[in-house]
Amino acid sequence: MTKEITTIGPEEQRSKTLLKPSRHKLGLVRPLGGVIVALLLWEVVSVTGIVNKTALPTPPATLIAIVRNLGGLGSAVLGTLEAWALGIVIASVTGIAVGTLVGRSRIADAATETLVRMMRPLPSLALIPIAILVAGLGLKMTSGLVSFAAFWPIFINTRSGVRQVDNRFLDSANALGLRGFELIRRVVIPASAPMIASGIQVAISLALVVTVSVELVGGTGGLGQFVLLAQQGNATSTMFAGVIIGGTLGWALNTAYLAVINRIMPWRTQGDRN
Amino acid sequence: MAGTKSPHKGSNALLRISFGWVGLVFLAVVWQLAAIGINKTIFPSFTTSIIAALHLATSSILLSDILPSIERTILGFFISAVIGISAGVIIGHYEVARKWSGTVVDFLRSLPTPLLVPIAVVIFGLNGRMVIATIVTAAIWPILINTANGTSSIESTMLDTAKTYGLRGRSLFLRVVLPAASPQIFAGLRVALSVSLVVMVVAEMLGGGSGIGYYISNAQQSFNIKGSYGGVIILGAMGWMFDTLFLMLEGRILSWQRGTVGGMANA
Amino acid sequence: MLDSVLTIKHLEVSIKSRDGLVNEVTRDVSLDLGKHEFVSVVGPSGCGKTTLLRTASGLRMPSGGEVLFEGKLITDVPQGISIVFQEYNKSLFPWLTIAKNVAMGAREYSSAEREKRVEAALGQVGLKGFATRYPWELSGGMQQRAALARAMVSNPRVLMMDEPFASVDALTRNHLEDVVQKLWTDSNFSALMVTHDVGEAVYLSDRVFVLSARPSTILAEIKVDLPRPRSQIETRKMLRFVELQAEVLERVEEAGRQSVGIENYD
Repeated sequence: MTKEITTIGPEEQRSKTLLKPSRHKLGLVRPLGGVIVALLLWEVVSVTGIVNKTALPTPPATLIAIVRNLGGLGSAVLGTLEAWALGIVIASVTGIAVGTLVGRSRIADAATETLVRMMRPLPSLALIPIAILVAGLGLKMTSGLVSFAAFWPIFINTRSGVRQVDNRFLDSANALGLRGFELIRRVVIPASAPMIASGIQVAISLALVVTVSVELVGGTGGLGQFVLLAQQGNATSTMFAGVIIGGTLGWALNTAYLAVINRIMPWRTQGDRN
Repeated sequence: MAGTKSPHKGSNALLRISFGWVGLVFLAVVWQLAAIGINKTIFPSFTTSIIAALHLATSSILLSDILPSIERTILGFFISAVIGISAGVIIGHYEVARKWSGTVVDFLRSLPTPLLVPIAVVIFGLNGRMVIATIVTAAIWPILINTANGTSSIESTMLDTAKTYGLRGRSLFLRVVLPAASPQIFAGLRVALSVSLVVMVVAEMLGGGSGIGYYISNAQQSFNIKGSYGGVIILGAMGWMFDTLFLMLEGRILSWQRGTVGGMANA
Repeated sequence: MLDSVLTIKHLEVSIKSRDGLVNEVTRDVSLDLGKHEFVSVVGPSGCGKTTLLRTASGLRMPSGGEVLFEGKLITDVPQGISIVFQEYNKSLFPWLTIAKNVAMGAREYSSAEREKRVEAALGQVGLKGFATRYPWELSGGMQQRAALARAMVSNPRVLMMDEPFASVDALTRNHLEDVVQKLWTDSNFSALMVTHDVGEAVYLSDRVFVLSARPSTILAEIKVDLPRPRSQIETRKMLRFVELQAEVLERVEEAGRQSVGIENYD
């Protein structure tokens, strides 16, 4: 109905996991089998040297590198997590607040159309050099950039979530005498919560990408710098160790978030069935 | 197809579209005003930056950096689309494939891609191929996952119908599965397009040898402030252009969908 | 008995659910469909009518027993069987126009022949002017007529219908029943329809089979000896119609569970 003005869809990542959680013991066999097959494939590729041997260490070599660098990896992960968390918190607060305000007003909604269209795909990473110029290197700069990047999916999803709140909810809320902030807090936000949650889910991965990128480009510590230093030192297995830990971190953050969300909002996945 | 007119075309549309730019103009004005008060060397005004951007777009940078970046983005996106859609259809259609690949796919798509740039540099060297390879490692996932979800959620009645009319194997995929999943596939493609742009920039900054990302980070390191702001504006314009072209294409291909989805939650 | 086109012998279907439990849906169902005969299967909701039809058409393999179409064992949906599903909105392809949807049913013909057949089929169901429309531009009843046209376009020998009129309003349903009746009278196909609507089954059929609750078996076979052509007003007020309807209803009630759809006929 209101779709005609707006061409911006919500971030389409409602069900980001391929596997629905399975309550079965047998359900674990095949996913684990898949992991083993993938590891074997990796082993074969690196041993046979299809890819440049120095560029691709074997899985055992990578595992050894992880164990050897546990201390360095640990503090790198903590550094990355700190900047990431700060950015996500700022982005969530501002994204939900601004998204709600814009989504409630048709005028603000229409007026921000092009801005959003342009900012959404604008690689916030392009701002890294500028951010270095303006804010210098450091946690403040990293988190600032991370929150800038993470703001957009949260804002966009909140905006369209708020816009789509069923009029019947609003009517009944009005009939109950809910107005202004009370209406937003008790009806609008809960009703758009599933959409907001999806926006945050996208933001979580995006924020990690930006954090790591800033660390790589600016050399500001964390996993990004860890991998960069390993590359400069020609230590490919250490480099791979950093990459694998980075993947595990991303996977853990996403899985943990989904677990929390599914617990708070068990009705969220209902829409997936159709 | 010819007989159906879009219900919301008319004089209003132009007004709406132009109104959509108000927010952008507002941002520009704020930027311009803020620049007056802030150190101009690190924060040039909006107009200065736009002029710098226009200057870049008409200089030799166009050929040496801007066009290569566009080419890499499109190529990376295209390769991701081909692999992502084919793998996604298979994973979505066969539950066995979904179960076996689930964890691996979940892990790979959680990997913060920029971490792969140093590896790609070791494998490919400092060049455009490295940038394209990095784009593919990131852009493939939203496409694959949306395609798989779209494919696995096709109504069984629809598949039954296709089977009764003798559609099997390849023609079943091409004539029913792909069209039925296409709204979701396109949503994934759109996300992947902006991911491609993001990754292109960071890969070029870290070792593209050329390209707009390379240009921006060089400009910053040599204190060519106007140049780096101009480069960022060009990137914004590039993103907007890609998105607009994509939406036009999508609107054309998914024109049948116009009346079927009212809300967008199920798109 | 006329020679039979479709024979279902001791059909048994079990479905394995996701959590590994085996669910017996159908236990020993036998029925046959004669040439140019109209047969309906009714039963309480959830008794496995749809599963029965899917198995009879070859969309699903039986766990026991067999289905013969013109004497041959069915292993896949054979040419000559068409199906109309309940959910027209999920069975018409939304990305194709009505004409192209109907043409799906006539893929084996040359394009000139196909065009002629599509036009004729659309005419038969009264959708002549709607060839270039998309499904969503049509009402529910019209969409189901398009689905009927698609099923008819290949001149099937057996038309199977799964609750074909359950998703439309009562008046449209009467109208669609007559469209189907006319198609059947004018052509030479046999019809097998599953429905939970007792009146509809009696109105259209030569014979009505009553299915028990899960795991289903045939509870009763009732011959409908009403004169044809039947009409919504004249036939439905005949004493014989009312008797037959009551008889079928009684057996359905007997089937155990309270069935859905009976409220239309109190």
